[in-house]
Amino acid sequence: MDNPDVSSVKHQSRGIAMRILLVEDDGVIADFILKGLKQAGFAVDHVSDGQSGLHLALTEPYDVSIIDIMLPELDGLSLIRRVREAEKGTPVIILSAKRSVEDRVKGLQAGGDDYLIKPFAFAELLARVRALIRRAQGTPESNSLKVGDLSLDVVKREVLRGEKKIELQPREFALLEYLMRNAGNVVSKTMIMEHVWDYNFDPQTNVVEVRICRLRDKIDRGFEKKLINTIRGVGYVIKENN
Amino acid sequence: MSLKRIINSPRTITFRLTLWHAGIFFILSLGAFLFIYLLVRSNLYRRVDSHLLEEVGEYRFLFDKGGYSEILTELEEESAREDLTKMFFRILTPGDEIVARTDLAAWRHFDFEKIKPDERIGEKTLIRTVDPPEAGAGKVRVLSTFIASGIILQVGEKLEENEQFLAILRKVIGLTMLLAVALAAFGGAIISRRSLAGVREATETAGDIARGVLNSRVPVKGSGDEIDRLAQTFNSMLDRIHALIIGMKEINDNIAHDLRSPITRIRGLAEMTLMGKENLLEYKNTAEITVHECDRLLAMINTMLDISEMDAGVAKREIAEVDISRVVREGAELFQPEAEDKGVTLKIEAPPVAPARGDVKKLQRALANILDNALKHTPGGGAVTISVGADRDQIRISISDTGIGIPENELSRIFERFYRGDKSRSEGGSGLGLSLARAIIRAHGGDITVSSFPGRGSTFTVILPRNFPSA
Repeated sequence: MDNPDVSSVKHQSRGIAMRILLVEDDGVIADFILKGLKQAGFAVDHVSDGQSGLHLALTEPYDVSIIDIMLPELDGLSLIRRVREAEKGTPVIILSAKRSVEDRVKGLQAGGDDYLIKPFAFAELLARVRALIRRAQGTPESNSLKVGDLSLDVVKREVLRGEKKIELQPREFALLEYLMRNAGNVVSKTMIMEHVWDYNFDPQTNVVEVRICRLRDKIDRGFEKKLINTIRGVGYVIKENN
Repeated sequence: MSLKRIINSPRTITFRLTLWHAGIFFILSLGAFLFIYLLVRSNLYRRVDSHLLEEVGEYRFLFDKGGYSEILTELEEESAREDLTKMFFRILTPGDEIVARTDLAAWRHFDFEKIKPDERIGEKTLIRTVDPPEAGAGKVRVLSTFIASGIILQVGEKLEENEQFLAILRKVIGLTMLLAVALAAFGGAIISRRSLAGVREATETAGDIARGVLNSRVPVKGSGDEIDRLAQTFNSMLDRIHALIIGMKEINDNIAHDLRSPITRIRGLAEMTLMGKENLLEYKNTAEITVHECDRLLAMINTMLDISEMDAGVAKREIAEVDISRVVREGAELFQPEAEDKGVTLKIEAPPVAPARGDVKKLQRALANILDNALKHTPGGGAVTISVGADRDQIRISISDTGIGIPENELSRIFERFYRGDKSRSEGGSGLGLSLARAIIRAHGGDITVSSFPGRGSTFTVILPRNFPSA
């Protein structure tokens, strides 16, 4: 059975898979990140201590580094500082169990580009890896999004399914736009709350479910191909099913 | 009064206050007595001096009247008139040649060299006090003046009686001062001990607390003075610590229950799945429930941390101007579809109001929690009404529902962490939503209250001060 969490699109740059460096000393966490990233089409190198991490970061070309803060031999923040001192601009995502604002600021000041607090949803990590790559490549955000026969025009604020025009409420439009910008990738409830409602917490109610349900009613009802999929326990993804 | 304890503890404030009190009193009284003493002495001397001057006047008069011989006669007569052990008269030339004198038998010990006429006499009358050559002989006041050119009159008078009086005066002053300083020290000790009694009580109370007697308090006298205010502040601090400790104990109990339950579910389910047949659907189901339960656990832990941080005042807040009406409208919009599905009408009366200061994310969360709670407890066909009002100082948000209401005995407890009313236990909330809401509102200097009519619904009222300090 194919894994629906992961898009079938390979991440490639000039025909070569995107390379990611993972420095994480917890074996189980490293395992699931490795597995997930490989399934998403990335080439991943994993080491479990700071020194080896630094060595790889300085000698190999990576598109993104994922670095844990608490590491043996050389801690994550020092590692990032050393990499930045060597004038390596590789985007860095920091993994940390510390959730305070101060720690976040410390991480970003050391030269991290993003900060993810453990425990995290893998979907979130994946989305952030992709966002950093997009930013590094300078891909402009498109105003016209398309998934299968569903198209959304951000400027005209128009949604079409085939020839049929679909009327959406502003918040439903924002939700669909967010899903479509992440087409093929799973987004979690928390990510939706944060990006569509600008709430930085999960209200633990079925607010998101209800909205998705309504959106699905307008987008998928009466069509044979269902575009909005629920990944139970993980989140939602919009994609053209094969 | 343990005077010994005071003296033995030179580092105490009581000791230092006593010392200062006595010291200042000593210096002041020393000054006063010195002034009195000098005044008395100069008065006594002036009386002697006027007597001496009187004599001089007499001689001048006689000289003017009868010349040289007249004053010699007078000198003869002085011997009969005056007590020559106490007075002497001498007439001499500027060259210290004695022309005439009274009987100096009683003046053997007096050193006349000391009063040899010199240029200091000049035109004016010179009066000086001559110390005796040996102790006990007594001081002598000597006047020297020209009564005519080339004729110097010297009159001396013993200060014996005056000196005796001054000696007694000195003794009296000394004794009085000794007594006064002792009294001042004693009084100072009493006053400082009295006024510091409150501090001592606070110290004892703190000692009790350190030994684990958490309900010990400093007695408040109600006098409203500084020490009393200290006691009150100290007590309110203790109340807060006590409340925090009780809260922590409760949380520990609740963590045992509320965190163990989901872990039990995850563990049990995983175990069952492992023991059962290898059924992919069942594995997926287990994984899904695991993710769901973990998310709930995580949310609970984070919310607990958030509440503690808010209560302790260590939470980082990003204070800015917040449009409360907008937060309310957006919050209502968030729950609108859910309300519709449930058949509950959401009424919003949120006219634009002047902005308040606060952390918008935190306020969003507080309001969402209250709204969520209201919606959860309102059955289909009911209504939840949110209204915003404001005056100069504060913003008032009230959230009314037509739900089942809250029994009287639960009203005071619904904001407690992990508290779930009997009827909401089945709803599956964490029991933290309202606690967090209150912690957030209170961290903004406001408060939240609830009133309820069982069977008819409840009203939550949030009061937010408008000029919340940004610090």
